[in-house]
Parts: sequence; structure tokens; C-alpha cells
Amino acid sequence: MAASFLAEFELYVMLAIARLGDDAYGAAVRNEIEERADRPVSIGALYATLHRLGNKGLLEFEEADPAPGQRGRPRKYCRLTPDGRYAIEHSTAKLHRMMDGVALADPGNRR
Amino acid sequence: MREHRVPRLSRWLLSITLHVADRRFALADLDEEFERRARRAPADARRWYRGQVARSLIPNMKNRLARVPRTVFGDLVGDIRFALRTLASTPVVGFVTIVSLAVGIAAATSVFTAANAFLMRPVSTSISAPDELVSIYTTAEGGERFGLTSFPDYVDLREQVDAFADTAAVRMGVLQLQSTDNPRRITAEIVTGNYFDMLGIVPPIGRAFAPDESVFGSAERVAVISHHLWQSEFEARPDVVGETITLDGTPFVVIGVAPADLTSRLLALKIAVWVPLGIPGGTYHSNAEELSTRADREHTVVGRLRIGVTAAQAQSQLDVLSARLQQEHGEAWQDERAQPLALALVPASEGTLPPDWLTALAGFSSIVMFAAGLVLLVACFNVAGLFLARAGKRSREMAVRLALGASRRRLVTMLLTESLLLGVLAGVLGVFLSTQAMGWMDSVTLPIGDLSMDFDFSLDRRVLGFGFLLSIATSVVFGLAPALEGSKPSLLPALQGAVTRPSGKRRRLSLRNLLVVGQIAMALVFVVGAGVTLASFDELLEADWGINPERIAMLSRKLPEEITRDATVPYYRDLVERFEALPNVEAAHLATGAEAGAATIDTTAELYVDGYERAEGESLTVPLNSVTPGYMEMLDIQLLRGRTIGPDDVEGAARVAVVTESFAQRFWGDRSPIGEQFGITSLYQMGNPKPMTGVYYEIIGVVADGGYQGFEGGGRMYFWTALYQHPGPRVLMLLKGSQSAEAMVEVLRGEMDPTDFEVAIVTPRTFEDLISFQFGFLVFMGKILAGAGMFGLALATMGIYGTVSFTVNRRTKELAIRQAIGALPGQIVRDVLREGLVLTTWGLVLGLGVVLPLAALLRSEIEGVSPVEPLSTILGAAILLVVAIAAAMVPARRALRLSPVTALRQD
Repeated sequence: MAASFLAEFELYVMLAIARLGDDAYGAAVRNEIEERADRPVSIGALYATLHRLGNKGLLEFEEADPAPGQRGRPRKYCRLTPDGRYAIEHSTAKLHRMMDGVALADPGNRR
Repeated sequence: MREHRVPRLSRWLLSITLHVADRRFALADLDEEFERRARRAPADARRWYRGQVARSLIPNMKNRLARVPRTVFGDLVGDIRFALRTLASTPVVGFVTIVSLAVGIAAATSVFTAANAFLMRPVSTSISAPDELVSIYTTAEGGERFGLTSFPDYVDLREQVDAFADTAAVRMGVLQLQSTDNPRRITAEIVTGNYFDMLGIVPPIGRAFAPDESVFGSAERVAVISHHLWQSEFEARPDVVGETITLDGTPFVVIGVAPADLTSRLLALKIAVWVPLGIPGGTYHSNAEELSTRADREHTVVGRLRIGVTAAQAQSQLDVLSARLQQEHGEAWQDERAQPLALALVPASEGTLPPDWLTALAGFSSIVMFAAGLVLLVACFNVAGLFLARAGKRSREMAVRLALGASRRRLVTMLLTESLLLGVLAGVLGVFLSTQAMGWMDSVTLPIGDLSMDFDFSLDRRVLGFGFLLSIATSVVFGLAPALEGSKPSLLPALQGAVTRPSGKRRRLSLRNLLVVGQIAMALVFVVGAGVTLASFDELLEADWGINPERIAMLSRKLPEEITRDATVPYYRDLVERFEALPNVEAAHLATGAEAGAATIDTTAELYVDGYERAEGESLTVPLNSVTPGYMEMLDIQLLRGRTIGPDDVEGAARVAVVTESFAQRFWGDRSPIGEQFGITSLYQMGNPKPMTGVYYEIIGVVADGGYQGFEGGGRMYFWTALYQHPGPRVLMLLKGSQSAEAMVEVLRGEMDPTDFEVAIVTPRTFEDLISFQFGFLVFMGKILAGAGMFGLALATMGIYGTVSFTVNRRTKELAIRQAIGALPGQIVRDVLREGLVLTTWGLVLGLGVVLPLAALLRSEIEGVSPVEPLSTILGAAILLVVAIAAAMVPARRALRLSPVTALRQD
């Protein structure tokens, strides 16, 4: 697995999907990132990223026709593939290793 | 259930940019969140939604591009990706470009939409084999004037010409719809029973007429209603068939609903109901008598050619029939100049309008199109200026690319891709804006008849194609020059970071200078054009009609049926007296028409004067107005000689007339015509179908010439007779108030007769309103033209400022250096100013050179166009000059205030 490093936003998306489990579809993922990371996410960027992750074999999708209670709205559910799970572990592990022992001199100055 | 609506434009934008595979999911996701947010704060939710869409557009497009297989389009995809990145990095340039181009494209597309709907579109897309359809007209003046056809002629054509598989007759009408909550006058087509079958139109609900349901075949009164009427009157109930609607007081059984896009043949006018022609008892001019009068030409004939028969073959059969009809019905087959009429065929591919209308409308729409095109061109120029400026800033990037081995052609393609992308985005926005604008303009309410006319301005493939072509064309127009200019930087200095042109020699005619000259010229065209348009309409509205219409209102009246011929005059006298007695009424009068085109005067007379030899083909048909005593005084018509219609001019006394100066001049030259007589060989009077003949009138007075016939009428001949000498069944009731016309409108409102469906002026109107109504269309067009002019001027001014100030800005370094080595600030400013002035002067000269001959041409072609206004022209030129000077001065002064060191460090 050579290309298993995830870009930052990709990582956010993957983590959100991992957290949501069976309930991971577009709106839920978008919301999860926005609320947890306090970072605005546009639906367009989300779908573009989902498509890219799918192409890399990290995600698989299931298109669900409207179920009762969804007011006629179709959903595209996302699930992590084994490669996807590995990619998350790999990226986060490297991130931890990089952060280990780093102390920022002045955490207040965010320039 | 539609609690909170998602912003429509945003949702649409999102859906067209999303990749198809994601579309429904992403939209559903947003809808779900929107709904949740809207429950808390609807306004915030809408803002949130718009924000989501705005931030999604660029990722969407990148995403779509990423999914295009790279090999297919090779460089193109890369170019588009790069263009998107560039766009995202300079959003302001992108925004300004898209918005200004979109407005220009919207203007041009709107004009095209109207022209398309008016001139080119068939009555419905559901017509089968539209190529086989033809229109057949009865033409006059050697085929120059295309007119309607009489019903007996249609019957002969149907029976004697076998070139057609089928022919149908149709006429337009206005019917009174009785409705509990919204009684109104609606547009109708009265058709032969085979009309729908002949067109091949099958109603989506119910059925069409059967061939035997018209022309006295069936006893049932049936109607096909429009999709719109079905929605407004029957809540779109699918079981509408069998219901009744009441038209002109008579119930009709609804048998079907027409396809939604079926319009009239004229100007894409929407039709509310179709009823068969000649049903028993007669409806709206289709009783037995009217349908058997050969001179009563009221029908359009539509036919379908037999398979294998060409239009030319059908026409030659029509020629045979025309010749026969001319022989058999001599007088009914001649025009007013005694020239024979003929039947002429026009293929459906040439539109559904008579060709002479088509020519007139096409001429008019091309003027408006020219104005819209000019606005678009200015927008292109502005954007070109913007891109040229950016090309200067990007010369280093271009130089690097060239140095790395990119061909110039490759660079031009890359830069053009950028402009194409912007152009197409602008096109999408422009077409959308245009549909919104047309939505506001698709309904006009006529004051005469209180009829709401709705036009079908829906988008079709032709309009979309036009918008698309336009965006491609604009992209090339604004993109090509900057692309060519931008792709040829001098390598070395550009790589070193120099932005200004290296060599000392500046080309006199650089692209940028040309741009400034062009923009100034176009701005001047707008100033002069808007000035001329506004002046022309002012003149038109304030034209001297020869009457004073102030404080007068009018309403049509029909004589009650129980009033006999002998009782008519006393009835009218009572009516006048009753109104004169009312408070605030200064004068009350009856007339058969109203001057200055306020009410169409249907009353015309064919004159005969003893001893006057009529020239070959000379028409002596003159309009007249039969009025009560004092009417002419009420309108302040200027009496030159003799007297006006007086109280003694009654039945039994000698018939009298007051004529205009031109009238008198024509027959009696400079002699006094008082006491002279003229005869009338036929008099067609409103509501009185039988002509009066052999009546002589004695001239009792002469009045000054005036625009009595209104705007349409060309001639100055006109005369007045005494209503009480020959009262007709239809009159106008005119009241002059002591305070205002509006008060008189209120008085007349009580006199409206809701059961009379044939009156001309259904609800009371002021005289002045009715005069200006004849210009309604022109004034409307004038406003559009003037608006286009103002808008174009604003755009051009912005463009001039931008381009000039940019040019000077680029010289900041040079100016600072010159000052540092001892040039006097005054000298430098003079230098910069001189350059600006030279360009402005060239622009003004060029602009005048274009606009003056153009204005002269318009003036010679169209009556009533004012000469070029020197004041507005000079003012406009002065404004442009000031703008150009300011644009040069502001950056020049800034440059002079900089220290040379800072200036040199700038790039």
C-alpha cells in the first residue's frame, strides 16, 4: 500500500465515516465534520472527496432509495473498506509520531 | 406542504454543476439539512443554503473534470482545470467578468426570445409534420398586403382545391368569461371542427372537436379550454370533461383541455378557449349571415399539403381559384382601389405571421437587437480590458511557459480556454436572467376591452442555442485579443520581472489604446442614442393633436334594443342632459369616435365632390366623427371659418359638416368652402353594417388641421357631422369634469354595462390615457432602448476608467524615475493628460462619425425620430472627457507622490 497517506480533509472525512458507522451518508458526514471540527464543509467538496476516496479503494458506497421517514430523499451510504481502515490507522499513526514531543513555543500566536 | 422553499436559483446552479452520479444524493442531503435549519430560522437557512452552493461550485467543477478520462480531451481538461484554479485565485475578476457578460447576454437573449416567439415559432410543439402546414391569405395591392379570408372563400377553397389534405379556418375573438371569483374577458379562437385534427394535436385530456361540431352541424355548444384556464377555473381536475363554462352569457360544455404550449398564430399570444365556428344561434360573429358574406374577411386559413404536393403546385391551384372568384364575385374580390385580390400561400417554415407583418416586426426587432448587441459588445470590451490588464501581470508566467518550450499556439489555447469557461458560465447566468426578465414582461393588459394578453415566452431549443452561441462568441471577442497579446511577452525582460514594456518606443496604436478609443466611441453612441430616443418619445407624447383632451373621460355605450329608430335622438338627448346635470360635470357629449387615436374610429366615408376628377387609384376614404352640439368646443378645436355643429342641426334640416383645412384645400383650393357640398358614396358606420349612400353634406365650417386621425393615420383630411342628424346604435359617452378626468372616470363607472360584450371601451378611461395607449408599445420599446443606452453608458464609463487608469498605473515606475531625474511634476502630468486627451478625442470623433450618419438614417427611415440633441451630446462627450482625465490623473498623481525608490521596487 504505497498511496495510503491521506490528505487532511480526506482524513477528516474518513474519520467521520468511521465514527458514524452504518449511518454515514452525505448530510451526516458533513454535519459530523462541521460540528466536531468546527470547520465549514461544502457539499460539493465533500462529494468530490468521497469520489476520490472511492477511486482509491478506501470507501465503498451503497445507494439507498428513499426509506420511510426520509420524505422521499435518496441517500448514498459510505462504508470503509479494509484498505480504508488501514489508511486511517496508517495516517493517524504517522501523525502521532510526528507530533510526539513537539512543543510549540507560543501556542497563542497563530501566525 | 411547502413550508420553507429552498432558494431556487441556488438549487438549480448546484444541480447543474454537480456530477450526475452524485446529483440526487447531494441535493437530498442539502434539502434534509435545510429543512432542519429552516424550522429554526428560515432566513438563516436560506443564507446557509446559498453559502453551501457558492462554496460548492468550484469543487463541483473540478470534480466533474477529474472524472473525465484524461486521454479523451488531453490538454483541454488540463486547461480547464488550470482555468478553474486561476478563477478561484482571482475571484473578483471572475465575478465582474461573469456578471457583466451575463447582463449583456441576458439583454440579447431576451430580445431573441421575443423575436423567436413572435416570428418563428409554430403554434405548438405537438403539431404533427409541421413542414406540411401552410397559411393561406387573401392578398391585396399585388400581393403586398396579406389579409384574412372570408368564410365563403374558405368553403370554395376547401371544395375546389385538391392540393390540400385538409384545411381549417380560424379567427380570433374575445369572449366574456363568467366566473364567480374572477369574471373577465379572455382570448378565444373560433375554429372549424377539424382545426385540431388538421394540426394533428390530440388534447391530453378529453377530446378535440369533431368535424361536424362546427358550421351548424351539431346542436351542442362545446369548448376546448387551455391548460391555463383548466388550472385557474377547474383547479386542474382531471374529470373536467362534461363541466360547463359560461362564455358571453351562454353555457358551453368542456370537452377537452388543449396542450399547454398551444398558442395563437399571432405573436405567441396565449389563447384561453377554443369554440367551434358557426354553432347554432351563433357565437361571436359566426352566425349564418356573417359566415355567408363574401366581403367579410375575418378568417385565417391553415392547410396541410397533400403528401407529394409542393407549395408551388398548391399556389398554382390557388391562382386558378382566385381568377374564378374574381370573375364570379367582382366587387367582393377587389380592394379599396378596385384592384383584384388573390389567394397566396405561405409555408409554415416562414412563420405563422403574415409576411408583411413579419417584415415590419423584423425591422423593429433588429433595432432593439442592435442596442442589446451594443451593450454586450461594451461588456466584452470591458472584460477584454480586464484580461489585458491581467495578461500584463501574467507576462512572467507566460514567459516561463514559453521558455520551457510551450508553443505560442498552446498558450493562446490555454488563455482562450479561460475566457471560454467564463463565457459559458456567463451564458448560463445570462439565459437564466433573461427567463426571469421575460417572466415579468409576458403579460399586457389592454385598456381597450380590458383584455389581458399573455404571451408564451418559454425557452425553447432555439433560444438555448442562441444563448450558447452567444457565450462562445463573446468569449472569443473578449478573449482572443488579450490571449494573443498576453502570449507574446519579450522573454528576457519579462523573466526578469519587468512589467512595463522595455523599449522606449511605445506603439501609437497599442491594443489598449484601441480599446479606449472604441469604448469612448461606443459610450458616445449610447449617449446620443438614448438622447434621440427619449426626445423622440417626448415629442410623440406631446404632439399637437389639435385638441385639448384635459379633464375628459369616456366610455362606450350601446343603444338599448327596445329603443326604436325614432326614439333614438330623444334617448340620446336625455342621456346628455342627465349627465350635464351631475355635479362637477362641465360638459357631456356623445360621439362616434374620439380624435387623436383615443378610440378607433370605425366610421369612414368614401367622398364624392361634383367637378372633382379623382386621379387613378386615388383614395378618397376619409374618417369622420358624428358628434353632439358643443363637442368641438369641449375639445377646443380651432375654428377658422364658419361655425361648428350646433343645436339646430337636427333630423330634417340640411345635413351639415365641419371639415379640416386640408379637406377644404383639396377640393376648393383657396376659395371659401362654406356652403359647398360633398357627397358620400358609401358610409361605413360603427355598428351599422349597411352602407349609407347618396347623401350630401353642406360645409358649415372649417377648422385647423390637427392630428385628429391619431398616430397611425397619415392623412389630414377629417370631418365632423351632427350625430342628431343620423344617430347610430353605438356611441362614446364623453364627460368633461370641472376638476379632473379621474373624477369623470368615477362617474362613468356607474354606467358600465356588464352584459354588453361588444363595446370598445369597457371600463371608463381618460382621454389622455387612451391617446398615449396607442404608443404603449412604442413607449415601452423606447424605455427599453433608453435603458439599454444608460446601462451601456455606465458599463462603457467603467471600462474607460478601468483601462485608462490601468495604462497610467503601469507607468508608475517610469513616471517616478522621470521625476527622480529632474522632470517637473507639471510636465509629467501634462504628458499623461495629453495621451489621455488624444485617445478621448479619437474616440469622440469616431463615435460621432458613427452615430451622426446613423441618426440621420433612422430619421429618414422612421417618422417621428428627433434630430440629434446637441446639448445631451455635448454633455455626454464632456462626461466622457472628465472620466478619461480623472482616470489618467488619479494614478499619475499617486505615482508622483511615491518616492522613486518605492516606485522602482513595485512591479
